[in-house]
Amino acid sequence: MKSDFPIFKHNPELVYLDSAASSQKPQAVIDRITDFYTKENANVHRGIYDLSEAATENYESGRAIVARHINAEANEIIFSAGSTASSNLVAAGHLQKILTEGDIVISSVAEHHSNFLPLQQVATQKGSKLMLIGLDDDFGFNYAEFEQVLKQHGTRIKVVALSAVTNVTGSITDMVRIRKLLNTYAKAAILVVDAAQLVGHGKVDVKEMDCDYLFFSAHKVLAETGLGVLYAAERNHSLLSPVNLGGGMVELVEEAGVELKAAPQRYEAGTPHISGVFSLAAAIGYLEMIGLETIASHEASLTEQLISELQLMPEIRVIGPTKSLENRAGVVAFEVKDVHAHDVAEFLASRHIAVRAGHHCAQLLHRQSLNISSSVRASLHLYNESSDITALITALKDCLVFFAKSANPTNS
Amino acid sequence: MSIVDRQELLDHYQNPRNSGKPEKFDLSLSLKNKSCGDDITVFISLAEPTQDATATSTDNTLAPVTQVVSSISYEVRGCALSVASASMLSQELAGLTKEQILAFSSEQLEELVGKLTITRSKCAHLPLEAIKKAISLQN
Repeated sequence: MKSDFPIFKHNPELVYLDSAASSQKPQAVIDRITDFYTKENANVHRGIYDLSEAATENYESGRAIVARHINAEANEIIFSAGSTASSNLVAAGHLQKILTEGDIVISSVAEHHSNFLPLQQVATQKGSKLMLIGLDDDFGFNYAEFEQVLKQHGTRIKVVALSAVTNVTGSITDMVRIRKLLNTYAKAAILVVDAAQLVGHGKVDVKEMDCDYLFFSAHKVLAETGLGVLYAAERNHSLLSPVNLGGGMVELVEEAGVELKAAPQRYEAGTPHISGVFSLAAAIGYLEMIGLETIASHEASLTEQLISELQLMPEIRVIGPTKSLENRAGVVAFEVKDVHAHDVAEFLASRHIAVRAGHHCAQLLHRQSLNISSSVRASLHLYNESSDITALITALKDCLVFFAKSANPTNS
Repeated sequence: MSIVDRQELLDHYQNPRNSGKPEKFDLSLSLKNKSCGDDITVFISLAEPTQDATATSTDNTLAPVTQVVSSISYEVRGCALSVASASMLSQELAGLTKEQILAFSSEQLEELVGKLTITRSKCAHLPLEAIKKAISLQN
């Protein structure tokens, strides 16, 4: 699979373990983008000429491909600028209208800022209470605490917004289980799923989750930057107002007002990211050709190797599930004893190993739950191989030797 | 320039000079790099004020008083680059006047610790900013 990704041909020494930040792109996706700009370029929904009509047709078929991939209907797929734009649209276009004082919004301590900050803002503005569910003893979502909160507050809970796979701990939260609990205690609550670390790594089924919204970014799914997807269940279309107004979203404009197009076009003002949608359709085609189950089991076996090797090193603490590996994805954060995360990353970079160091846009998790300022994160995708893990472990061992303090340190 | 390639930085990280809280000091200030959690407290001792002999007085008033920073120490919790930067700055800036320290530029810092990338620049600047802030707050 690695040979499908030209980045590795041009950077033969690269050990890429930062796919949770952005994935590499297969040749098929790059070709699709090049083809569009070299042979097919035109705007969509506008011109009555062949190129524009073909672009429109491919754009809408891209929507259908995305819809089928997550078991949605095409009119439930809204193209946005990214996960962040998607979650902001949900907060400003829907939650803003329904939340009132005393309502409760539930999320978790392990959320990415893109999910958390729009929720925090809308809850504050509306006088609603934002409650964050903590971690269980294996860094997973604390279902018991969640159920307690549901029992206590019941129908006052209006929104539950959680990531399906967290971007630091790699823990998987089972949205089917979340929805079942909601159906028992707060049936009307809106379920928003951040699927940025899930799509492309395994099967996604919005009907099975019975979620109201689900979002992800194309660039983490082997496609282009600048494109996001928001799945909006049809039952929410009458409640979700567009946030951006402009061309392409209206049926009729009069001085007194406008008549908006139906979903999803009403949420896509302006010229959309056409090549992005084509690249995402090509990426999904590539992923499905390899098979999501094959990808999931490949990543699971690499994750198991990585976790077990890290656990053999006493200086390393894995920040994420280690007991029940079936509840985790290939996003593996860890701390290295007495070596700052940035120093670890810089040392690994000198060995051509790309990881992420910092708080990974999850400051609350680091400061509040883990009481650390930063961690190192290695994250996997289908193009990783067992040798990447071996290279990482070898380099980590060397890193510990390199940064070892002298016998009589003068520093406190 | 990465710490991995520069033995001098690694040496300052592993054996930081002037590290720790001294018994006596004149100025102290703590500064935190909020996004990455690094923090530093600097302790600064000043030499007895003297009149600047080099300054020329055009009227009958006394020449301006220059105050020399006699020593700098620190307690730092952070990455190797922030520790090394604190250590090197504690040597480089001691003996300079407050004005000279306040004028110490990013370019001069890079001459000292090596070329800084965008992502690591803030690590090396944290000690410098803390020292400058401690001095300027005194006035």
